[in-house]
Amino acid sequence: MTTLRLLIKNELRSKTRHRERSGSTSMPKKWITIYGALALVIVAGIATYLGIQGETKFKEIWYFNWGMLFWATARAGKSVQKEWDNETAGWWLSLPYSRGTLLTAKFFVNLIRWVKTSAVIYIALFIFILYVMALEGKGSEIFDVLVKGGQWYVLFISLSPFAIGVGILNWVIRKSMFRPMFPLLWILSLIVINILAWLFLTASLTGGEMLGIIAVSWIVTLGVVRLATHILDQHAVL
Amino acid sequence: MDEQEIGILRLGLDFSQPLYEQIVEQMRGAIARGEIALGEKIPSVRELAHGLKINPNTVMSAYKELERDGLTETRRGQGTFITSAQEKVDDFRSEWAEQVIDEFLGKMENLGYTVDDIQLVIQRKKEDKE
Amino acid sequence: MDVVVRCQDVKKTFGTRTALQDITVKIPSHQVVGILGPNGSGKSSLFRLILGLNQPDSGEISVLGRKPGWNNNHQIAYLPDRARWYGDHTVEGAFQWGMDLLPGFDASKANELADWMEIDKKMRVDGMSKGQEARLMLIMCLARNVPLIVLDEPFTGIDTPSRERIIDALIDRVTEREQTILISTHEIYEAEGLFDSVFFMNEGRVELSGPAEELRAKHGSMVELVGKMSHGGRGR
Repeated sequence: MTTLRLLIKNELRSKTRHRERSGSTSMPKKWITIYGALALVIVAGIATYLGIQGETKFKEIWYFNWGMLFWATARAGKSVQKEWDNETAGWWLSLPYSRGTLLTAKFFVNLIRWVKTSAVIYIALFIFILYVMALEGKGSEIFDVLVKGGQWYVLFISLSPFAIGVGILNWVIRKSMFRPMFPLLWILSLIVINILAWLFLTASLTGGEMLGIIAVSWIVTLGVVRLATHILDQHAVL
Repeated sequence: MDEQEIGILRLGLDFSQPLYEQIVEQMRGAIARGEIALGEKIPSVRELAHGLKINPNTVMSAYKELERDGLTETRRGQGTFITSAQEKVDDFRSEWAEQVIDEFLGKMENLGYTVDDIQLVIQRKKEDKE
Repeated sequence: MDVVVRCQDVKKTFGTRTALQDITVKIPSHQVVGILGPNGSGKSSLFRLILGLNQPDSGEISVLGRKPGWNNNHQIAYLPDRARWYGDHTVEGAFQWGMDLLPGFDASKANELADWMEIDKKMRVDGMSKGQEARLMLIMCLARNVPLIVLDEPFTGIDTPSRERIIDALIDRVTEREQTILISTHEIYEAEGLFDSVFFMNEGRVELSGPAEELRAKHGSMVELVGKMSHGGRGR
């Protein structure tokens, strides 16, 4: 248990996703701030415009969760891929811990990061919505919108373990003797995630149905991580 | 072959020959010829290994051999020194010379030379040198 | 002679490529052992089997008396082939990583080595030269109190001063403790005098092995031997 905690701690500490190639230059901090401020001004401008128009509907805005699921999958895959990209896979895999422990640590780190990233995006969205609605003078509806948003956040965080597990499995397969199967599995994964997002966002499921699907997705996730562990253990290509 | 100066020693190794023998032979020679003064401290195993870029185990076994020869002595906590007894060096030198000559005689006999033949050859060599 | 790695008829292929064929060796312990041979001769494949990163297709292998695998690796410090260190770590960060995750990692020893190898402890890895990074990675291995250290090509692509520092650190390691150090290299550089015994590999086979001094007496220097090997000769 402490091993897992230490692996998670050290993985969380490591922020670089892509190591800079020698010769490339990174964006100076000053310019990142300038562009960030510019984007903020544009968003604020749009929000003000929408608020003055006064006819904004925030029903479809939650569809962004659709894309978020794919992002979670790709990011989880990247967290495996980076060990090879940064040429640290040898250190990672020669650690005296089982493949299951190593992948479980990656899984939890992805989950923790995902909860944070989603929270930041939701908070930004809430501020945007609050501002627009305040300008529109729809103060009474604000509470309902926030509750709705909160529900979406919890629902999609509940689906993210599956997305993360699938991402890890796909990229482990990519680094194994089964690499030829990767494109097929990847397309299949995308279809499954699409169906999930479609079910939750457009089909009107009952609360019970949603809970059922989430429970099944968690059980499947366990199997997916077990499979990734087995492949990394027996068939990885270094 | 580059000679390295490590402390009071000057050694040069040829990596196509066993290293251990080279260290022993070169140090024996230097002590027998009196190039290294009696009672001098010689480099530690670590220093010599670093200086020559070789395995310390090799240096260690060479030092042990020299101690068996009676040419060096280890003083506890101080390091390894050339023996301060001249007679030990002399003993070793004559013993070694004896060995070299026996070896030489053996080889010459193998070639069919008698001791008289050998003496003649040596006489001629001596005249050449003069 | 104590044995640290024992291979019996070990074979390993990757698809159609044969990496190792019929390797039967006993690698002696408490020594500096050179695994020498040209690129692609199977040195790294052998090391990966020792670490349990890959499984042999057939044959038996035991390391420190056990079957290789993650649960044997707490006894082994391993420098992987062509590895880099985590770019966002500082030297201190790397040492913290070592203390957290590597059994037997001795932080005070690591600090000592860093001073001696002239590595600035506040420096970030992605700002390092290749030689500095190589020195750090070597410290991560040498600062561990484990019975076996496995270094895959520690001298490749490194400037001469760094290489000399690394060799000096290895010499000290041998002076201090009872460890077995396995070093693979395709170029001997200044490491010629370092080995107690050597194994010459070529095309997935061990073609010649023995105590370095005996091989020198019979065949000349390691550099000459590797030269002969890479040009198709058997060195015998």
